[in-house]
Amino acid sequence: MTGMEGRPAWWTSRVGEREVLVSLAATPGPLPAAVATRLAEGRDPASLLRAHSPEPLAAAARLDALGVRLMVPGDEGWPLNATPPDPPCAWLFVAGTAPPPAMASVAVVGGRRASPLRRAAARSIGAGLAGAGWCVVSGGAVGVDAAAHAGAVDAGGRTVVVLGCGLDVPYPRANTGLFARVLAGGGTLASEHPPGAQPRAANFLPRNRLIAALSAAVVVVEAAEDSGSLSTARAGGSRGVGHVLVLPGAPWDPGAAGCNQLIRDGATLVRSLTDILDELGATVSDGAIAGAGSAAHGAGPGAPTWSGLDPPARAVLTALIDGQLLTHGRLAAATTLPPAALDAALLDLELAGLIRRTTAGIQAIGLPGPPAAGGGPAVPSAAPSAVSSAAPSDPRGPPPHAGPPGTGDRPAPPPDPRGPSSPFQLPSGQPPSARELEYSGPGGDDDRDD
Amino acid sequence: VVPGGVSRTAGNHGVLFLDELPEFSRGACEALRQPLEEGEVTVARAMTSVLFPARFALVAAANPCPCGHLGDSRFACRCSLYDLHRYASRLSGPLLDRIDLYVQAERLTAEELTGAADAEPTARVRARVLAARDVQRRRQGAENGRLAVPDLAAHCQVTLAARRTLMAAVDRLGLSARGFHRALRVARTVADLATSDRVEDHHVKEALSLRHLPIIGDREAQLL
Repeated sequence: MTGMEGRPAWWTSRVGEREVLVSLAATPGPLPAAVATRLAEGRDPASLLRAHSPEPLAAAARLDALGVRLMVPGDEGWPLNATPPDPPCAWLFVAGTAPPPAMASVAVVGGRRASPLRRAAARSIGAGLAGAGWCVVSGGAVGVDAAAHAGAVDAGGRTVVVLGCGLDVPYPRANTGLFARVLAGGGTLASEHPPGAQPRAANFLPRNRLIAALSAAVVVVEAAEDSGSLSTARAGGSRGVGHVLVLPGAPWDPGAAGCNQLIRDGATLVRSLTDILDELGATVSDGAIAGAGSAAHGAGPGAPTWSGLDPPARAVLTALIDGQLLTHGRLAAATTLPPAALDAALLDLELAGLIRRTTAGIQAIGLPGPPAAGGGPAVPSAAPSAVSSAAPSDPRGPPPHAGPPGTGDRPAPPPDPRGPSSPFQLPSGQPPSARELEYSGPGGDDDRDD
Repeated sequence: VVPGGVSRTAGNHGVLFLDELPEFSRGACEALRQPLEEGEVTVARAMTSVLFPARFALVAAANPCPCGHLGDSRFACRCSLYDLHRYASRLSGPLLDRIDLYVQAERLTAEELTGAADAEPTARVRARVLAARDVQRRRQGAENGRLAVPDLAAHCQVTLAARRTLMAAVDRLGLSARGFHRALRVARTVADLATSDRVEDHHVKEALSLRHLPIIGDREAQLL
């Protein structure tokens, strides 16, 4: 449809080019990347308006009311000058500060259903990048995206959340609190889509190209086969200027299928935060990817170590080391532990914050650190349940810590049970801590009514 | 006012079996809380309020998720995260907290389905259970399930290691006050079945493993 019949009633030839762009950007319906492509082909913006395109002043007023700005190429601070995406990007709706130029940012990507270990790695990488002064760019989904943002924000860093919907659309609902923290931390919410646009599936592939374009490098924490993370990485890699840094995984780990493919295709394998920062040209003394725990919660002398676990617990954790879910039955088969020993080991690991049980199965959420370096206190084979852990932060509340980059010295996911990584404890709930509970008062005084 | 299900059919000292628990209305589920806790049910009407005895064992079954395949080693679960959250939200925390033993039934192999030759016969288990109940009545005049909280201290002596495990469960697993006392009763029962006078650490761990439930529908609690 190119004719005049598509023009809105308010349009006259005297309407300025910027006004036309504002209306075009605010027009619900067409995919922004498609419109941008036509503009790049030299089409007159006014010819792309539709009958329902909003009147520019009204559209601008709506943006003002929402605290959203429209940025277009040529504007001061337009972040994509050096790294134009393909297909091109004709505008960005922005809340918060303007996104920094790509050379100051690193994308951290992975799926919504990434394993807890990979989410912990994302959190740790987010914190480490922020600590080294990088801005973290990612989507707004639960899983790796949220973990990367949370890690960076908690470390006092800036992040850019690139959404596949309008900036005023609270999607996903679970992350609206996180988005507020991103903004409060000087970060940015950005989207090509006008306010009110719903998160349609078709929006996310084009969205991924923006994540890549807004970043000097893409760190792929998790990528299943044919995943969105893979598309983001490919967008980063095809640009040439971008580095694609990938956490590898075992061949049978579905969350690593895309990662390993990228490495085979020439992406850079990274084993640790140090590898990432080295690759980025930054220098940092030290940093383990799975240092989420050590960074955020402090790997004190009481933190679990491999040698501190008893053999059944070690066997269970080794079976879970790829981060996959195993049912109780499969775990029993894999470890050949008798039921009582298996249950005791599971409980020990659970109390140590290293695994969690769900209906879908049992999963590692943390790995113990290597034995304390430099002749640290020899850890007796005390039950990990005696470990004194720093209180895990509430997953929904403002975390109390500001984690510097990890202090361990080994990467997270390698399947080496002898000492692969630093410990971390992901919050898995809010324990209603009650030390004086013993035999106190009449029963039923802890009624969590809802 | 006529006594209803929990006082009559399931009877006093009977078993109330609810299949597909999440399919019951939330109101029906919540109404179980009083009888589960107190062994009585109050039926209030405009003019009067009647107290019926309702001491029963609740046995309930549920699918892990709406499609039934969550955690299945053979079939992939087709539920969205939203489906799972909605399914999980049908069962309130306070109700789940009043359930002592959780067993997840995994898919059986053909061998398990047809074999089971080495399983302990029910008659022998029954004898063990009756003996344990005898021990309990002799010790405290009631079964462990009816021990009032103030009497727990006297009759559920636990070792230091066991106590540490319980405290850790409160701090790290979010065990509630009610859950704590219930786990203690279960641990006492585990010890009784093993004819142990004292409640040892591994008894407590078994009790916690039994009550520490995979929450229905919880595929991935959002960690962030």
